[in-house]
Amino acid sequence: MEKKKAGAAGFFCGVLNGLFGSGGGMVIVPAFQKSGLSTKEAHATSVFTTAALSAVSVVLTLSKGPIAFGDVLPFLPGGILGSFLAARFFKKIPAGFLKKLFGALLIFFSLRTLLGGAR
Amino acid sequence: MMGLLVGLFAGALGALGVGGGGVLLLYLTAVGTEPENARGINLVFFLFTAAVSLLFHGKNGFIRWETAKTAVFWGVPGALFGFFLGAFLPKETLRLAFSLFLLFLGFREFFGKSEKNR
Repeated sequence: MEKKKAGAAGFFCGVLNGLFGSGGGMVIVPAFQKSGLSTKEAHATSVFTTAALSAVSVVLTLSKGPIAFGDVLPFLPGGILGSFLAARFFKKIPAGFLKKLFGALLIFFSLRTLLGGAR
Repeated sequence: MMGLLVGLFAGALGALGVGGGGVLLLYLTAVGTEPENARGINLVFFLFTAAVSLLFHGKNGFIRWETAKTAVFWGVPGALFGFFLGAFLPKETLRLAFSLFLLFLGFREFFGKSEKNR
């Protein structure tokens, strides 16, 4: 039963990732928790899952045209540092805080899209 | 400088699995990047930063490999499906529906009870 849930969550996450390029990870965290993972396990496992699926998306995107790798460079030093610090202290972060942060970001991003993201 | 700060923030959030991708996408859109380019940049960025964080998550035992394997196994066809679907479906309608769903999820996460710390 849990395998089915994880598989379904993965599929849905993949669809979102392929369709929008992001957002898949957000759906998968609650789905993983329903499958029995703790909050932290759900978040950490979702990073792995999203990364794997993002790799697939990158390959698909490249098939349509080049990605401006040079544009990624300015963000990488900060990104790697931020990722390193967050992961290093992940153990110490309270699960409740993680949940609230996640919820707040979901609300923020969805409201932004709903209220004014039109280009 | 901005790039460094945005990267820092997005990288940290990405590592926590709470949606860091949105931060970078927002910034790229704000400075005028084309959506298709922004998507690609965000994907690559995440791959690099996720790799770093996964070293720790794996070492600390927070990744449930069985769950991850199943999710990825089904996620790959999902990604292919979603990618090609994007060519046919009205993305804006989907995005609207999806945003509403995320909003609902967000409230649930934010206001819901969390389990005791592990």
